[in-house]
Amino acid sequence: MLLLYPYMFGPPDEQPQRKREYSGPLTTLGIAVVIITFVGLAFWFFEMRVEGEENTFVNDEFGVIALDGDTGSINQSPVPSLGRLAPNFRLPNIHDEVVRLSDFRGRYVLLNFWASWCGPCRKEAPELSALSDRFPKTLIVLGINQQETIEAVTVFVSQFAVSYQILLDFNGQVSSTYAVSTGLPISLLIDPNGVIREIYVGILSQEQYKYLAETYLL
Amino acid sequence: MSSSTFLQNNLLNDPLRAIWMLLTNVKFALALVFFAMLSGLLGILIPQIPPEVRDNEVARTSWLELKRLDFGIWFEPLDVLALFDVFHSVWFIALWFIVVVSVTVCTVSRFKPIWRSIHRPQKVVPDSYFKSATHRVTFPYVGDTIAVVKELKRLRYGVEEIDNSADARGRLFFAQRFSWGQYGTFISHLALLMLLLGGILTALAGESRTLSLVEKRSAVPLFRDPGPSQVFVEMLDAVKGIDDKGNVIDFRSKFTVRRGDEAILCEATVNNPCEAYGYRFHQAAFFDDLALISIKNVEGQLLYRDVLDFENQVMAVPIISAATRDGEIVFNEAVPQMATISDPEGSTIFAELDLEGGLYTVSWRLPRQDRGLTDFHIMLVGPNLNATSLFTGESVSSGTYEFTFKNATLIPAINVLDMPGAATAQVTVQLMKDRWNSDYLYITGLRSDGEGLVLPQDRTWLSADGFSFTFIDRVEGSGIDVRRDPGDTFIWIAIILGLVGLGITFYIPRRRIWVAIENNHISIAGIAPRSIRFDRELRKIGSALGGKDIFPPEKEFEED
Repeated sequence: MLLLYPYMFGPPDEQPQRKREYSGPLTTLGIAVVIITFVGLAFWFFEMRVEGEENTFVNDEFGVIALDGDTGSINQSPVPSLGRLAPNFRLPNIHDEVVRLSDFRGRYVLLNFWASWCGPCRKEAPELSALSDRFPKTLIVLGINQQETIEAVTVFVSQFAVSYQILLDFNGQVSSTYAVSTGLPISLLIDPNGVIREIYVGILSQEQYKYLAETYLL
Repeated sequence: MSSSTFLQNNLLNDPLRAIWMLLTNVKFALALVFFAMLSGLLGILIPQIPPEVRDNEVARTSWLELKRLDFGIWFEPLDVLALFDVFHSVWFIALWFIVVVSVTVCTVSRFKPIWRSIHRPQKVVPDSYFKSATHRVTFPYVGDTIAVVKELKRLRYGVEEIDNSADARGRLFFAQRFSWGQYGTFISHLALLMLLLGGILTALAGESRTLSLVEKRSAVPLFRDPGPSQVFVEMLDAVKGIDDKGNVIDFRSKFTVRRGDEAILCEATVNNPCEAYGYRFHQAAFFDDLALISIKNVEGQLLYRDVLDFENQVMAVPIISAATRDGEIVFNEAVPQMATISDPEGSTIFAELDLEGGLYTVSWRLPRQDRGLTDFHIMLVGPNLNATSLFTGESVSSGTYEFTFKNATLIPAINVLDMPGAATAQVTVQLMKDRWNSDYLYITGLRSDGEGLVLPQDRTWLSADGFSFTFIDRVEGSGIDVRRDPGDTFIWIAIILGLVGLGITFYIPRRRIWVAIENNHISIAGIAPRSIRFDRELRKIGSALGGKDIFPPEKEFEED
């Protein structure tokens, strides 16, 4: 009797739902672990799992890479900031050739981050082409397209008769490393030693083109 | 024994029990919540490593070096504490894991007492309980026990007579109704947990933004920051559905959603969103004041090819018709603003109607913003026509034509700065429709001779400087709401569980009754939630068994 009704000598529990009871590691902690695992897996399956993870655009072959052991006179790690070495990268161009930033050591490089949906970028493209054509020996203009399809990029290049190299930042890693969001365009002038000399947010004004040419290129 | 001593003893003898005690401790739970909120706040205030950079050591180092410049001496301690990557740090994940474990353990720990209460209820109570229970009655009773059982069963109680052979007391009964109703509380607690979990997920991982998407424009990115999870949306067709009577019946959009090299074709309306990559795309707005134009320089190089968005800016213009004496309508359309003369009292707008009989001039004042188009009127002058003021619906004859000012209307119009090839720094573009309902642009400030330019759709105008301007098409666009709510599944489940749990708790509450019959008296004691009038139920049982005035004075009822 006592075993069956452990409370028989006391008044009944009026609010059993308010009790918390430890009934052993398996039935208390174990069940909690099972529930957490189940809910966690359900959440991962329905909300976190990325469909199409075989995405061919996410290619480890491209993106930011280390400098080839040469940090120049600055001897500091690359940072996308004025006076610092520009982070090196390897990206394909629209002709499927692989281009590295470090390939252009010895010449000025104007990195221009852009996208075809960006109105100012469309306005800027003809002026960048003109700049590239004006200083073919001293300046390399690299247009880094931010994650658009090669079809969209090709149409843009054709429409605007872009004369400089366009590189494809498919997964956005280079843009992120250079702290470039979707607030485009952003341009960086890198000197022959790989050091960032100028950063332009938005399109370059005529005064800035003039300064750039007179200070660095002429 | 203090709780800390008790905890220490348990920690040594039964560490798992000690962990359980910690996890079910209210103060510990409050501390966890506080640290979770604090860490979330830090993760918002301090710049976080972009996801696409996190896994690339070189890129990650570069990004962090940039922050070193920003944060100076604070960089090292912040970096050591992983505060530049709070939401992916081990300590943050561990913190939330402990919160979830704690909450789950608390809920699980409630289950067994409830289960036991339902399936192994206390069927015998001490005599003193019949004198102290909140709900109780005692009255003389000389009837048999069959009547008691019958009455309780009539009220749908499950009745069980207790084996009382080992006890000196009289006959004992235990009855209960809706025993499973006790689960209602547990279900409600479970619902609360699910709601909290859903809310946390929504707050941490939920997204909501609106994209303005225009036909014939490149795909636009969904997120501010680039990365592998970036999604691009391209509008293929924005549609304003119109029925036979000209009523707008729906707005819908057809667009592609692309991530990487995979694209999903979507069609969305206001009430029927399209789902892609875990996001819901709703139609939120529609606009058709957009013109696709291109400008080339003298070498034929494309300088500009984009959609000119009029941004809901409008101008008031009159719609005028001109008919010959024979009734042939030679003009019937809105007249664009061609010139403006400002004076201290406002601006006067001028336009010209170039008809076969000569040039007629229309002028009107810019309407006051607070009056709208209510007092809009025009002045018309021309060959054989003295200056005549016309209000809406009025007509005047010049001999050759009869002019009617049909009404004023608002047309898309915008000032554009620095248009390539333009003669002036600012041009004004008006998007008009001619009498055949074809679109054309009326542009002032473009020509070097000061004249306005009529640029029909799909036509190119060549300037004296060699620039060519083409109005390619009038296009449409949509505002698309993009939402992602990873917590919504949990919240929906929580709502269902909450409704079930509260419904059971309030409408099907458990009742327990203990009955003792001895010495020609019957004592009834019971337990039920406060939400029901259990005293009234006991009194009815008592009345049915012949009891009178069975409650003490303080137990009188209001009704009945």
